[in-house]
Amino acid sequence: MELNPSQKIAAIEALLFAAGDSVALDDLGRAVGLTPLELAKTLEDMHLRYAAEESGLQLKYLEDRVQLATKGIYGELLNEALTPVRTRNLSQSVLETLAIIAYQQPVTKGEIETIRGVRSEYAVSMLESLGLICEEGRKDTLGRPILYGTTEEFLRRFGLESLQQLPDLNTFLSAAQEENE
Amino acid sequence: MAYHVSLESFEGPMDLLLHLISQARIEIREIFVSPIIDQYLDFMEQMPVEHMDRTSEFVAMAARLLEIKSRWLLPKPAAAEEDPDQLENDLIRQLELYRQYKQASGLLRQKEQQAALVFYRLPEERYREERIEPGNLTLEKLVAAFEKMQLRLAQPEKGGAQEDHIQRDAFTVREKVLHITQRLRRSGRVGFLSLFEGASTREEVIVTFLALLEMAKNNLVLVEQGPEDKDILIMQRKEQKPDGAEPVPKDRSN
Repeated sequence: MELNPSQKIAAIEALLFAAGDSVALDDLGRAVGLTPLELAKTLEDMHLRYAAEESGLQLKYLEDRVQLATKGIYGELLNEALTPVRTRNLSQSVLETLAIIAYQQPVTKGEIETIRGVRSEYAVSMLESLGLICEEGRKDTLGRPILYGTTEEFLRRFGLESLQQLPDLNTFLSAAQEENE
Repeated sequence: MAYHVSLESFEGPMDLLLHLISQARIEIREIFVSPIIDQYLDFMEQMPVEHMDRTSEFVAMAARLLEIKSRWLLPKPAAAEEDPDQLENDLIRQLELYRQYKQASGLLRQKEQQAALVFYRLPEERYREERIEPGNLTLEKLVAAFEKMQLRLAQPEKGGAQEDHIQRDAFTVREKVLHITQRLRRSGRVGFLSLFEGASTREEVIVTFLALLEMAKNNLVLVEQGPEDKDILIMQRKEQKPDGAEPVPKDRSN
């Protein structure tokens, strides 16, 4: 069906709501008849509109996909009202492993263990079962070990729009040096 | 020095080293000009031997530190390695990298807490069932295929090996080569199909065929197609003369 500009915005909203999951920008553009450039502009407008208005929703970017989500300020209220199943917080070792994978991906378990200095079997399988990392092929070396990378769920869980948003690793070093002074 | 913290509270040897370093308020780079190494080794001595699993990594690090230490004490060999500080630098670099990741994980934890307040809708069940369309398969074809399969299953292997037993090969290529040779000696030539008559199992058929191929490869037999698609004939090959010339027996069947 032919849509006028404001209807296109509404259609996107409807699509994102019905999909539940994230939707690829390509699919979105094709569905409502917008070029990638037009879509980017439209989404930017929507993003601002949600942010400014008294809307409980926000538009989340996840690499080349978008998804509707609730605003953080209502988080507490939602927790109380809906009593969602809370996943346990990640332990320190699992978090460290995840950090390594996030920055080094794709990376093998052996490479992770070299950096951590300890076996990482448990951490890796825990992360996989939580859907935060996944297999991304195998390394072309002896033994053809599995390569791991982070998933979209990782972006969601840590409020990232893309892997580029991870601060450069070297910024951490200078902070540590300040500690010691 | 008594340590109040137990080994369990450390992720691993590097974790412990970083802890000792920050306690001593020194830079990672200064680790080797400090008593850190000795502190670590002291710590190790107090460690219980029960948790071998976890402690193996700590022991490995202790070994590494001891190696570095011992190199200082012993005179350097005449042919020294390129970089005499290689081991030390590797460890320092490893510790620095690990510390960066520890801090990165701290950042992730912060972000995790913030993001925990944001909710997403769970995806709906698939809107359309993905069905496997049979395509152009008609009922008749399906029945025919089924019947064919039935027939195949119904044919028992005569005297064949049972599925759940691994039996020694009842037939060997060597046996069959002997068998073929004998038959050729008796009748000069043998029809291809007749070689397989009386074969009780598929295994026997295969082994017989392999034997034939072996013999053909070794120039022991000549294989010819009879006229007008008659049976293939296997014939004895006379001894090969050095120049390769030898009378090829003509096919005299009509």
